[in-house]
Amino acid sequence: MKFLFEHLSQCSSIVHSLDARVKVAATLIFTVAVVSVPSHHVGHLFLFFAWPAGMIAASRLPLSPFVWRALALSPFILLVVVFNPFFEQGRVVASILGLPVTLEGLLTSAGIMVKFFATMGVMLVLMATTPFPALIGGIRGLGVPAFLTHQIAFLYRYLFILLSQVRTMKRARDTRSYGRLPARVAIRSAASILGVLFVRTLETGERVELAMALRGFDGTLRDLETRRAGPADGLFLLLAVAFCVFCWWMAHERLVI
Amino acid sequence: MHLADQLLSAKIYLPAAAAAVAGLSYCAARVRRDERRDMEEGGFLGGAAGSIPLMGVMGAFVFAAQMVNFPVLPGTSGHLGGAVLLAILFGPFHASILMASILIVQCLIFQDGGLLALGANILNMGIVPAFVGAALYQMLAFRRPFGRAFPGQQGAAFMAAWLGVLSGALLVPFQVVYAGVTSLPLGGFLAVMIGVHAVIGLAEGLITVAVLKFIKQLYPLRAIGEHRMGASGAVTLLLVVALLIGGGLSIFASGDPDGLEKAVAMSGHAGPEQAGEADPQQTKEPALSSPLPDYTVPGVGGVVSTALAGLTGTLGCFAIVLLLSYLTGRAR
Repeated sequence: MKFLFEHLSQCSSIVHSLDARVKVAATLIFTVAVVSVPSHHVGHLFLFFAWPAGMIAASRLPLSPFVWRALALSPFILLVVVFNPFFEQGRVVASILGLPVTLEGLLTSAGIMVKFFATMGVMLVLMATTPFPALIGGIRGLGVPAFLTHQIAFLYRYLFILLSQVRTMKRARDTRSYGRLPARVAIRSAASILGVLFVRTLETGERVELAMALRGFDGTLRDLETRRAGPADGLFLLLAVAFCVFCWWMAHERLVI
Repeated sequence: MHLADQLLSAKIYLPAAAAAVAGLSYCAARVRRDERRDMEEGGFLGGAAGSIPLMGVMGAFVFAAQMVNFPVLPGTSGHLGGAVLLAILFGPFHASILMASILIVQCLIFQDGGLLALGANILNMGIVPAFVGAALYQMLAFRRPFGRAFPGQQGAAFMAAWLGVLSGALLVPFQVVYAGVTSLPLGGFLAVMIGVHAVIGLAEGLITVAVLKFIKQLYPLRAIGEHRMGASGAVTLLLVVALLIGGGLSIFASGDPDGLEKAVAMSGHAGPEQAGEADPQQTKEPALSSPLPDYTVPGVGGVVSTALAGLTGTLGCFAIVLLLSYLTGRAR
């Protein structure tokens, strides 16, 4: 899984050592700030890039994985961005296939893309600087209830085992069929793969559950993490809030820099 | 169809998050209650759906299952979504929580969707498909409103999966248009989403049926196969679905007052419509046909009022449909 940023999160830097709760909160605040600026303030939206860029610099991680990951766009947002210029009211600047394209529509689409890259940037920084267990602890600390965080913790723990099983079974199918199966057979074989996976998962799950019950699992997961938020974390959060408020104000009011 | 943060605004992501939190809390309470009952009845692993570790591992299963591609139509391939399969096997409450955890992990690891859009995504791809799918399956497979032969267990699973996926996808255009970030027209957007997700839903239906069949063959002795609820359970379920759709859609529908209404409001004249009370019973199909009638409940303001009107209308319809289905069911 190339685009899991897990391996980067094992490095150490100032950003890596911050409390996970603070990082999650900062990411959330940043996202709200970016999203609540009107999309057509394109130029000013670029201000927000300073935050993820600064974080990447401070975390001493290479820039290229972030760039490559961000460029893998989601098809859904592309659909919206491509079609919006045709529908927004405004000054017509071009026409494609006889359909008018408006300046306002283009600006909005560009703004959505800029926002996309900015928020993507902070999410990637969060993932690249926080090990997943710490991240789960962070969102738990921010008040996400245990039934959900336990679920996520187990999901993540067993995900890679199941993924490798899926990969093995797919490889077995493909080597036997040269990757070409008639559609009917392909669906049936996909169903068998999924069915086998399901049964194996069920058995694994029951074994895990019994084993945990025997060891006295009472429904709460405990960890040995005793870290408390220190002054550095407070300072970081303060900085993040100040940055977001400042940039939001500049971008929202379109002040000249 | 993961919605991205950038396409939504606070008037969508806040209510959607609130709805998702409320829905998930309800699901968690139900799951806990069922587990406690299972414990009291003596079965330690009460049914296949049991407790935290097993369900967590099941979440990983759906995640891994989404990696298996198969051809749908020539040139297109699909993969399992999972919400309806889980809802058929374990019930909608477990399924919603599982799907929520999967969507959160997808949001964090793969950056599919965003933090703010998480509420909307959990609704669209988790809670709504799970409940619609489960309700349809319970109705078609066990209550059999259309007789013994049609649609059968497999047909029921297929329709549940197809319509479950489609129902979630239908919410997306309403959310995006109401958010007002883009200027996409509701009709065109809806048409695209229905077109695309009719195919995706087809894939979901086919693979759901195939997997269910496989599991039953391999595991004939186990009590899995389907989660089954009593009559009251199925009715509650349909009610929840009706409320979700009625309340949810009418909120989205209330979004943009048309130019005339806005102008009237701004110039300070009470429009003629405000004089008479809006009849809540008119709102049985919130928002699907006309973008904005004045469906409000008098005395309550804004969004709440529209949602209430939608709810009342839906409840009325729901009662009628339920009555009819019971009457015809008894007659047979």
